[in-house]
Amino acid sequence: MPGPLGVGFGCLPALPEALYTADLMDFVEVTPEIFHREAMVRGRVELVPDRTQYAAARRRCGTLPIAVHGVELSIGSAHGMFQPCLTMLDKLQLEWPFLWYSEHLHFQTLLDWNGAEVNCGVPLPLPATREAASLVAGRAAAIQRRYGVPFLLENPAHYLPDLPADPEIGDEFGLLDRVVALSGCGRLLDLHNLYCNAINFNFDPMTALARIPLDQVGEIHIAGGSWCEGFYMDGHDGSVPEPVWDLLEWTLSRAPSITGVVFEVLEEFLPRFGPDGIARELERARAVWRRHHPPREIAV
Amino acid sequence: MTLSLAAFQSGLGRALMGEDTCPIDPASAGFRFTAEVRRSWCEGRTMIAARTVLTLVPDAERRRFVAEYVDQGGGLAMFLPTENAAFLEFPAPRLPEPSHALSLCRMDQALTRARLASEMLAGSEPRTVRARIERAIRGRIEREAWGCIECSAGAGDDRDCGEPEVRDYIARDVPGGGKPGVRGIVEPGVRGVIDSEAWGCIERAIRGPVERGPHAALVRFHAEPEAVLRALHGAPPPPISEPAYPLLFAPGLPNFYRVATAEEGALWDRLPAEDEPPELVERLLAEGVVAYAD
Repeated sequence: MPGPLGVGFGCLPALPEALYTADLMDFVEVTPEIFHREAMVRGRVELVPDRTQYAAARRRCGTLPIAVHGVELSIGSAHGMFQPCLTMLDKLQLEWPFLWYSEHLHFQTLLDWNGAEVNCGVPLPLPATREAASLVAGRAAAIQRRYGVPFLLENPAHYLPDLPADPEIGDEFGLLDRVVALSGCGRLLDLHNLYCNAINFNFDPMTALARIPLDQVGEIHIAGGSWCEGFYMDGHDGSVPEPVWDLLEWTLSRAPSITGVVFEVLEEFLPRFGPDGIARELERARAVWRRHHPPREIAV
Repeated sequence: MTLSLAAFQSGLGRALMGEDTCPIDPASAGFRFTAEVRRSWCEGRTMIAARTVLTLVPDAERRRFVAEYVDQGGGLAMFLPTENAAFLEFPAPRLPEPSHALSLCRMDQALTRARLASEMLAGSEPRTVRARIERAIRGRIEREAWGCIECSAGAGDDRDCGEPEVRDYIARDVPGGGKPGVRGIVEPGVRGVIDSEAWGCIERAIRGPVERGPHAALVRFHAEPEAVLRALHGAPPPPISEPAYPLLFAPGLPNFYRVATAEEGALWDRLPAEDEPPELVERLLAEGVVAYAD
């Protein structure tokens, strides 16, 4: 991973561009799918950039370094990943180099009865099995070679109980352990996802955190959520809850390779915050970050 | 675990779409909640992707449209423009005619078609005679045209043929004053002008029937389009009037649309048609608004 950068934020077109030049963030996490669209090119599906939106994203990010956080690759789909995402990134890397690339450890596409690929409409967790670990690890290693930058996998939030598991893998933590060991990729530790799963599946988040080899963590996500029908949802719809700030303090003091902390919020919930509310969350994240990564004195 | 990863994923995914294939307990609160989250994501994607059309649809009707659409398997496309294109097929037959919502729906459909066509068609080439005929025949026609130019330029007795720019160039700059073989020594840029002029003559000579371009549309608004679009941002919708505000959409137009003139609107309504004013037809051909009928 590159050296410590600090606090990052998503590239959200609905926010004023001034927010990105107000010294509130040290890098931008870009999800390129939002400024691409599907097109048939020479008989194949490709993701082509919407040039207006792409130019707006570049203008917004200015000279800030960027990391890519993909959402549509579906790295865990048994029948195959959504390859157009990778060709999209091939081109992006030439035009707008990114420092690292991350994806969720999940699947979202599958084959229907006719063998056609369908999107199931929501990201779903993988079973903690040798087969899943081996499949994802092979792909993660190939992706890391393809782009020559660190590739990180994110622990997902989900609500499904009793997922199948092989005894030697055990659970979601064991699955990511195995993938990282087999592939050499890194971890994107989403503390809000961990917190959600801890609440919904009734385990202690701090105990779970203590199981994770924190030297493999390259990036941290924090976010807010909300309650719905007895579940605590990873909604990215509110301020970061206090227990997640506590988890961040704890983790930053023990993770030597972290490049940055990203505060996540969904664009549709921005009105709840307003630019000032976003700025407050970023300032707080930066204050926590600087307690563990104090700015260097400039030698005179 | 005895179930393969593919079988697990297929079973779980299809169970969330309503089939009886769940590899975990389908009665569990977690599975039922995941199904609800999935549905809300599908509805949310639809609402965002089709915001333009749905904004002017009354609240209850909007919820009903979206719910019916998701019931029929909609809201799954990964990318919003794809979802938008898929959704727009759904409300068009269900919206009242006339209504601003229906005009916006047709406008969104027309824009999507024109934009996608501009990406898919090599250079959005209009369906001219030149584009439609086989490469071998095209080559023969071009050789014939160049033969005529070379013969007439070389003989020096028929300087009235061709465009003035070409005649002047051959007379002034071509070594030998346009002896046979002139094509090989003419600058590529000028060669292109000559080719284009020759094809223009052929297109004008043929003037076959034209029809509506396959990726073009004319949408008539029932109020000034600007006023309808302002309603998307909270202004009161303008009253419904006669359909007197036509917009043309085609892959060859800047930003894929422009206001249609009365003459163009009348031609659109007549299409397919023959013997139309050549200047009008050529302009619309170049924009992809019309095409020669097969």
